[in-house]
Amino acid sequence: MSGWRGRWGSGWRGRLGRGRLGRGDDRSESRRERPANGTGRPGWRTRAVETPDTPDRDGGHADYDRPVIALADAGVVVPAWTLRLVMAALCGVLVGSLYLDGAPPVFVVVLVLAALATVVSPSSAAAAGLAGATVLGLVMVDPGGDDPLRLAVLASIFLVHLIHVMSGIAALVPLAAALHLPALRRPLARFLVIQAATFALVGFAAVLPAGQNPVPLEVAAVLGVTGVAVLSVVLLRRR
Amino acid sequence: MNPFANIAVGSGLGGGRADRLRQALRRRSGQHWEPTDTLRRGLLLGVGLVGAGVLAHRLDALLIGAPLLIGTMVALAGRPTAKPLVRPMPTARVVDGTGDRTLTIDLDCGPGTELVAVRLPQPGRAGPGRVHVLPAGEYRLTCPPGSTGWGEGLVLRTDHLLAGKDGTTVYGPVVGTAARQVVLPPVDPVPGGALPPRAAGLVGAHRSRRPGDSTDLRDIRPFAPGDRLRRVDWRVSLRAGFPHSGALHVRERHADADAEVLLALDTRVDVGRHLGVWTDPKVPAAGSGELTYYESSLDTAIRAACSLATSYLRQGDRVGLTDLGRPQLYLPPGSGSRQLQRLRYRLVLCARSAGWSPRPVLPPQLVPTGAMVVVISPFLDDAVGQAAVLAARRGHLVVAIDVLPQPLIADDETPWGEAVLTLVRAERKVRLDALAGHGVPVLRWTSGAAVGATLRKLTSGHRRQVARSSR
Repeated sequence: MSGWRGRWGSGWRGRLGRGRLGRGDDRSESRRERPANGTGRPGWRTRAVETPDTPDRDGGHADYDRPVIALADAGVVVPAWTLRLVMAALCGVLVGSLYLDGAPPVFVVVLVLAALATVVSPSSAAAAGLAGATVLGLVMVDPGGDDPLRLAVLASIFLVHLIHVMSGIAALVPLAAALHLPALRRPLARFLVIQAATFALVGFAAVLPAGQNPVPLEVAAVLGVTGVAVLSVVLLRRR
Repeated sequence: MNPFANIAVGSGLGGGRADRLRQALRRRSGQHWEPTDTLRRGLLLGVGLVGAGVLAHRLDALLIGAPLLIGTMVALAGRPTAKPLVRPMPTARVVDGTGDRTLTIDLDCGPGTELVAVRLPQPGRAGPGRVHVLPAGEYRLTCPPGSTGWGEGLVLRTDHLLAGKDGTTVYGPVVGTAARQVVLPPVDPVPGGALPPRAAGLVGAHRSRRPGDSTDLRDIRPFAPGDRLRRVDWRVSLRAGFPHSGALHVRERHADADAEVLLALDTRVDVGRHLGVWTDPKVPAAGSGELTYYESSLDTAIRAACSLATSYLRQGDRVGLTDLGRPQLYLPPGSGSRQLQRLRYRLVLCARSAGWSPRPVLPPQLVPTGAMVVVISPFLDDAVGQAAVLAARRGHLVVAIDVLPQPLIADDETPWGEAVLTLVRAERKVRLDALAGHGVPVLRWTSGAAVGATLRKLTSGHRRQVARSSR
């Protein structure tokens, strides 16, 4: 994870840093004169060429019927550090809910540190650490698993997923970037759908009778998790 | 055996190797889709928490891990694979600052892509600009240019990065192609009227003292051998007694003439009102494409040259340009709109190569015979004044235009600030007085209108008077 962070650290500022302008930018070009019309030949009038010079993704030429969107009309803009602010607030709610649930104060301090690291460096392993620590805290509060659907658990289901998604996006954009809110529409919609499915699962679990599960069901569950792991590896290797 | 078989096989191998090389280079430049830590985190937490929940009979762990696992699997299933395109539409190399300069970027992100972060110009600032995070799709994005200043500079560089669902896969960051533009200096034309010409040719907009073929009446005189019959003024001739006693009389007209003007631009120094930043390299230079928020002498000089050239060229005169700091950029006098475009472009070049020579150079062979020389300078050293006086002694009509921003402000960070300011003012006063004493009128460039009014006085033969009043 540190590799990814390091890449961004030197990447966005270093490789995509602000270019130099002016007379020092292109020394070789400064010694070469061009005619006033800019076309390379004297006497030709300056005109903007509107034909694309490279083929599009499918090998053909660009589609001229593509919708034209002005940057000013591309939706409400907020600075990208707003994502970090929201993440900080969500982390605060998560830690607060665990504290109210009865997590030990020392563990709460660990959670706070993990949350701070997540907000400061969302591309690091801190987000994974925060999620793991949250589950560990819930286990510490309720070692027997007698009340798995209490409020702190329900809040954690929502917040851990949201922090995971937001840190994934925040890791990609520089702090000073302009975030157009319509860009978050699709991630938000998918998040809500997944949460709805999860809470349907919660509802299903709530009505299930407590007690020992049959052995075939246990084996099927373990095989299912193993299958998901194998499937994810296959999907990852697919190009 | 087919002798071309080896060539075909060889070319095939070469192509494969080239493809592999291309792919390797593409990997180095980030031009491929790759998983991010978000994907690894989602998989690790999702599988780990769900697995631990199942094995340890912890429903809470399973429920916390479930959305992470579902989200990651959905992202994996819809992983983008197509190569996206983020490219700027071609722009004109040379543009006029007054026209529409909207920039267009073509986006074709491909299926599965959700976010695109692209660097776009920031209004009011030159350079590549700020990163914007936008929804992915297939559309054209238009944006205004960053700076509205004139000069040559970078207007667009579409550095970009694309992300799949929830940022689980990423393409880039890719450094985009840089688009540079030359924005010509703005034109603030001097108001029309008689600017001081020095008649040189037989065509043009100005009235010459010599007889010629224009429509303006010059004289009526007796017929002489060589006169054309169509010039005979019959009414005057009959009144004079022709054909009995008097002679034929002809109408003599003035000749049309144009003027040749040579703008001599001093680009050796570029200073503002604050003496404290005269040697500060951080101040944006004139013609760098950035807006010069402070008044710069070179910026004013370029604008003045542009305005004067526009006014003279509109009258049909011939205007040339020489850079006192770099005579290689000499532009011979010419006329017409093309000459104006050429001259504006040359002014950008002059600004870019400012400070090339420590001494002003105005060779006599660069100044056409009878041309008017307009020396545009902040007059911070004696050398430029000597060059102007030498041109005047060669018989040219020389006008000096002072472009040093006023009032000057002393450097308050040093105790010598006020003393330096006093010294600079005194030196300049002596220098400008000496110029006026040699018959070179010195005008301060405030606006086109004010300078135009002063220049009109020069037309009516009040050159000495204008020179005296400019002291």
